[in-house]
Amino acid sequence: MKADIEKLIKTSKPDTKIDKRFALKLRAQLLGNTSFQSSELGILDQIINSFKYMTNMYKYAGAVAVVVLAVAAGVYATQKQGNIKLAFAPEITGVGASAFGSLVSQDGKGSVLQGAPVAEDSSNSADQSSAMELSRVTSSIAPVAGYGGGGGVSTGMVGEKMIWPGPAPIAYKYTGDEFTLENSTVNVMRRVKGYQASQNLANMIGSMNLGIINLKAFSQTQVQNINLVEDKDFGYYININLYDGTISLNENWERWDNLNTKCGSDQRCYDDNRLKLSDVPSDDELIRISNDFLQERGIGTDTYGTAEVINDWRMWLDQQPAEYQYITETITVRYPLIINNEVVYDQSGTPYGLSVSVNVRYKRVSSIWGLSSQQYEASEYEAITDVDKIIAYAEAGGMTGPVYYEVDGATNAAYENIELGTPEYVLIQLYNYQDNKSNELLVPALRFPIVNQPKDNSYYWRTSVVVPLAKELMNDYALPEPRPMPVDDPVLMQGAESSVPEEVPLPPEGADMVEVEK
Amino acid sequence: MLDKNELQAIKKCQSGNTESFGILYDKYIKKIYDFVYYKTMHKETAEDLVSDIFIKALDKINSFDAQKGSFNSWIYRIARNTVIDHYRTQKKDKNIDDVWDLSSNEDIAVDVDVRAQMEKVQEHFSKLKAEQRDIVVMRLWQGMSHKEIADVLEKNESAVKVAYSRLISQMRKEVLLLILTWIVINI
Repeated sequence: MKADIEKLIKTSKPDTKIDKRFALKLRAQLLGNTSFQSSELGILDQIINSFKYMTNMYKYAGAVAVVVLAVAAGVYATQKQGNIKLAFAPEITGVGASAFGSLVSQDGKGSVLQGAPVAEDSSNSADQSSAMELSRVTSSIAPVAGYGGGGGVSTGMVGEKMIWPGPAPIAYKYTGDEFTLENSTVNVMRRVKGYQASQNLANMIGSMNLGIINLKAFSQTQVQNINLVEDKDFGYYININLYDGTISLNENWERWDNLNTKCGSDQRCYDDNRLKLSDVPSDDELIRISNDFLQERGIGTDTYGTAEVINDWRMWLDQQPAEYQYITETITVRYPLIINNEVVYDQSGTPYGLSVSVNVRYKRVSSIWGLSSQQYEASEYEAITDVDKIIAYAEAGGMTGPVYYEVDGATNAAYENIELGTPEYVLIQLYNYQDNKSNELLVPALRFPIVNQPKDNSYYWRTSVVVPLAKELMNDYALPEPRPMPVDDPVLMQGAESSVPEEVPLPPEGADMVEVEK
Repeated sequence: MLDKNELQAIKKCQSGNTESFGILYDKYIKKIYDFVYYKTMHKETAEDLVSDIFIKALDKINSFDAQKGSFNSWIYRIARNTVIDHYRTQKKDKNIDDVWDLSSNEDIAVDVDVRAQMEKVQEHFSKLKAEQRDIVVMRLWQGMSHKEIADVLEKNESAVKVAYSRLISQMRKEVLLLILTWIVINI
């Protein structure tokens, strides 16, 4: 028995892994090696670290202020390049139960979904669905040069109507193995945000009199954004949001060649410069371009999973006649975020994480987003354990998929039967709007894979259905009521300027659409 | 008993060559970090405290006297006191020495991934005094000898041996009592 007690305590020993960077940094500080910070970490890294230590930021604020001011002063350009890493391991701090209040947004039912900001990833298939506002248009689509990231179908070169075949009802059916859920609680995580990181910087800038304006005259000022621009050909615009703890990169448009500048209103020029399918690099090459860029810029991917190329644009391409086929200018490589060994998905079941857009024309990375501080607070919430209810919810399409029923005479569309396989535990990222703030939550969920992707319905883009395990969310969304099929005539894709007649209902945002033969 | 390198490093530090502190740092950083982590169960807090501990150690290196004890026991004592100071500053109204003295609903940060581990021993640990917990932690989680533990706690070796044995017996009785209670309730 004595041995058992000792064994119990021994096996309960927490796994301690000292952060090597912390150990190195402290060693350097103790030994007075002041060069360590600039040579080993780099400016951007220190800013990232400032996000990491947001909760202790009063302690670190002075250092951050110096760092950030150094950036502003242009010291950035002189930074030593090489072993700079932007990766920062997730840090999760436990707080009391239900510490985040209601998981349901204040702006009412369903607003957890609606609270999300507009996705920047225009090539994201999930976004394409919601962004593609259907409109019953009576006039022709006005030609607009189709240029820029994402999308697979250009309306720019179309001189006549393109037909959107309309949605069809979908019947999800769970065909996976039996499973049980035993945990009565789940750990919901909230990403830590705040102005603490920039407090000292705000104080310093806020005390300046710039001549044209006296910043001292303002009170309670905070620094929210820092923007840097690489003023060189194919340079980048770097946005650092100190409040959100996010960094994004985009092309410095002034210094990137683009067709708009080159062709102006010359349609023939656009036509002559259209990309061909053969211009598109292989997936391996796209990932190599992305990986090389991240490595060169010191952007670590330690907290992300294996890169995958988002190829949804190809399904749109295949739907179009050859003369209307438009090859996307940018293709996204996504690195799924992994927290506590679980992959994070968005509400539609698409992996969520770091996205890198590769410009097909120039074979260069054109933008990066989804790079954010990974400091979380975790709080226990009541979990749902009723498997039947979860399956019913999944069969209703999960968080984003209402089921249509057929209105008499509206359509002859046949139900598309889609099977859902045995679920896996994942985390889903949700936006929760509370007190005028949009919080980012990671909620444990079950992800049901779609096992029979429709072969003939290329407009169906989903690969899974997700169901959150927090009881409150489940209660809030309840089982979606079937909705009437919204379409009875062919419709046109966004791009037309005609208005939508009021009497015709639009499909709900995020609805699943599949092609239907008319 | 100090090893030669360690003693030389200390002497060099005491004579102003603080670069030699690196030898001591490299030898003790992991041990001290682990010890502090076991008493805080929170990475950031542990890092903050470990920083304080080594800064204090470097600052006070001249006060270290090899005749009075080992560097190991000296830096462990700094670590123990630093952790106690931290919690007493945070919870001025309570007599708290480390995270195990706190009830689970206290507003103190704890890493989520060690909560399950904590729960397994929480019931036993929370009933012990901080010094008793330190004996168990140093013995079972850090593999320290009774002599090393005795040096840290400034006690004699046999007293620590007896104390450790009693603690284990006490915890064993509690487990037996729990089992008996369960049997009585379920029969």
